[in-house]
Amino acid sequence: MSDSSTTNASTFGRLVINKIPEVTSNPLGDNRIELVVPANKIRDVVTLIDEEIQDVLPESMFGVDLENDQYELIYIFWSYTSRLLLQLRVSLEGEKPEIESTCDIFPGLEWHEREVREMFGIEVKNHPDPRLLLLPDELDGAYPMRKRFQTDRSRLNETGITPPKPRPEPGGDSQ
Amino acid sequence: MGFFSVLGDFFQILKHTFRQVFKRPFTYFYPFEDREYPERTRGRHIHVRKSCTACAQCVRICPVVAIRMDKEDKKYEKDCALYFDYTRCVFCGLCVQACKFEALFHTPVVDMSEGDREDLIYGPEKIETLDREPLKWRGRRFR
Amino acid sequence: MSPDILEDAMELWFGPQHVSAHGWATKLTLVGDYVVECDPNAGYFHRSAEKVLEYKNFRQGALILERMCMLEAFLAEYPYVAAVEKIAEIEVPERAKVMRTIMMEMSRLHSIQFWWGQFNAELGFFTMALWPWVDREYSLDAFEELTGSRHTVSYSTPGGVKYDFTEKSMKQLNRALDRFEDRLPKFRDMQMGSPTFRARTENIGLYDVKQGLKWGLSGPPMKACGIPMDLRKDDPDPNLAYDMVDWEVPITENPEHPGQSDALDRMEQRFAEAETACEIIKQLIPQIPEGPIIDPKARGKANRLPEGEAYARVEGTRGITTLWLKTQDKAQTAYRAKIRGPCIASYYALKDLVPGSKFADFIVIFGSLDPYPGWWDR
Repeated sequence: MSDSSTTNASTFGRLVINKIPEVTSNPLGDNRIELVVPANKIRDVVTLIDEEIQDVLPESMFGVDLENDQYELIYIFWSYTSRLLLQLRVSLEGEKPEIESTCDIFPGLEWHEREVREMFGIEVKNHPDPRLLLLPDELDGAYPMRKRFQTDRSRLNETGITPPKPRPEPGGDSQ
Repeated sequence: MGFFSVLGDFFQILKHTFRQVFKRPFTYFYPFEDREYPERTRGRHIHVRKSCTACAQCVRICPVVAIRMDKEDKKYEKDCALYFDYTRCVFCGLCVQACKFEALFHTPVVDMSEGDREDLIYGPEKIETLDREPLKWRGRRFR
Repeated sequence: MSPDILEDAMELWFGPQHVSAHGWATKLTLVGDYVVECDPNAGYFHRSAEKVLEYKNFRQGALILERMCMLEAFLAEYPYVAAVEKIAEIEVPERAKVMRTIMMEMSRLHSIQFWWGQFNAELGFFTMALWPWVDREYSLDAFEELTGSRHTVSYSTPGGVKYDFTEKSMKQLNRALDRFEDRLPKFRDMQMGSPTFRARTENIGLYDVKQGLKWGLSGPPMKACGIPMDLRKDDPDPNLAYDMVDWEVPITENPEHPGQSDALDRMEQRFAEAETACEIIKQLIPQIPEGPIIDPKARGKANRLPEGEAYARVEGTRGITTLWLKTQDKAQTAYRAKIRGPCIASYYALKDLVPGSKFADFIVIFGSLDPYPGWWDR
């Protein structure tokens, strides 16, 4: 890598906010920054990251189920020369929320997006390969990482102590 | 590569061969002898009924739900019977660490084979006794 | 690619029963001896660890993590423990920090020794398969003497480590290191001097830095390109003692193709990694401070955690290994835990890396990236 210019977290945060004013930022300290991105702007922000930071590595991308049809998507990028950790947070809502695919910019995110789709039911638009990644075919559409998916807890009854209270069940039918 | 260097290699090979012939084998004559296991080996458990207080800490901490307790079955004042399911146990050692009354220990016995799956669920009689003295029996060489 | 070439194409499933495919399957489309399409399939090893972690409390969780990768069991369980410590604000004693670092480098060494043998066995170079595995036995003996288990050590716990070093375990550790350092030059001669091995690995699986970063590759596959990308230096964990040691990030630069790496460079890089790991342990052993190995308050603190999010990262044997943890207030279990294994990127990379190469080189390419299915299937 010939480019040795380093990027500071707060400088980069300001740069993104200047170009896309809908984005807000929270510093996480220690050259880490979190950007809260609206769902329709995610492609713009990821493109900007790709253009501005030379050696950026798509580290991870995953969903979080906040219950009551609220979801969060978190993208994590890491740049080793500037030692900068970027965390993008996208809030989503609805029974089957949608997000634009970013895997043509970072191919490494392709499998993470497939996983989010099968585990949380977050539809990834324009994904080149929307098959199941980890799950067997019979769990297609069951979205097991959602909180409302009930797992088999019968083994706990075998211990002989009183079983712990069941999780509070949010809206929606149990699978 | 001259003749003498090949001869040198040849003698080196012969040296190794002769050394191996008069050495003891590295392997063990297994069912009759075995290696010595370290003190901390996490093998099958032993339950000391006398100091058990039926606090159920081991049952609660077990990550794979391998322990079942029977509070009705009492030998002493406040103990309980434990059933260990060795088809599930992962030998993580959390139950032994959770026990504050020195009633549960690991033993260095790691070879537990049975003809039937059901026999791997160790009941109270089996878990309280060792069918063999592990350290006396181990580490003995017959050859 | 014209359609008439594809008429003779053959679909071949490599795995899941194949011995070189360790329980995972890749669909290859072959024309003659050449691979034209590679479709890696994940999911054969899926144990839903992330869902299981939502039901396990914070002392049990590390056990689930170490079963993600048995070869680097301590490295795999450490990010979870570090994330719990970050949220609960647990202080770790100095002695535990050094012991963790030693154990971490030891499991890195063990993982490299295993990979080495496995890679050579896949290439049919059986002498080099069995020799490192002899040394690996000594590493396993050191683990066993210290923790009581050979693979799944379950050594770290929130607030410190579980077992203290004893005289006997130090002896085993030194024996494993001395033996390995003694034999490393011999291995290097044997491996790098083998014309068959060189012919099979040179210019195979070539990629450059830019491509690797786009796929998300990290660790030895990237360091083999000549860039010093190492979390131990770049983003050191506060509860590890890498700052007590004087060491350099091992890199491999090949003058024939600068900024790129082939399978031979990646083998060379593993040698450098193993040397660095030995060096770090050797420097740390005389520096172990006296004191407690666990914070006595940690057990109570780790029972119920406050609300928070933590992102713990560690440089694993195969690359960046991280865990993202979210908890709710007074939580006994994690609300969401995301495991990021390094091999998800290296397995995905096969999709672009393999097409165009010969079928026999496929094994060289994936073997040199050191994939372990537990890391992408979780």
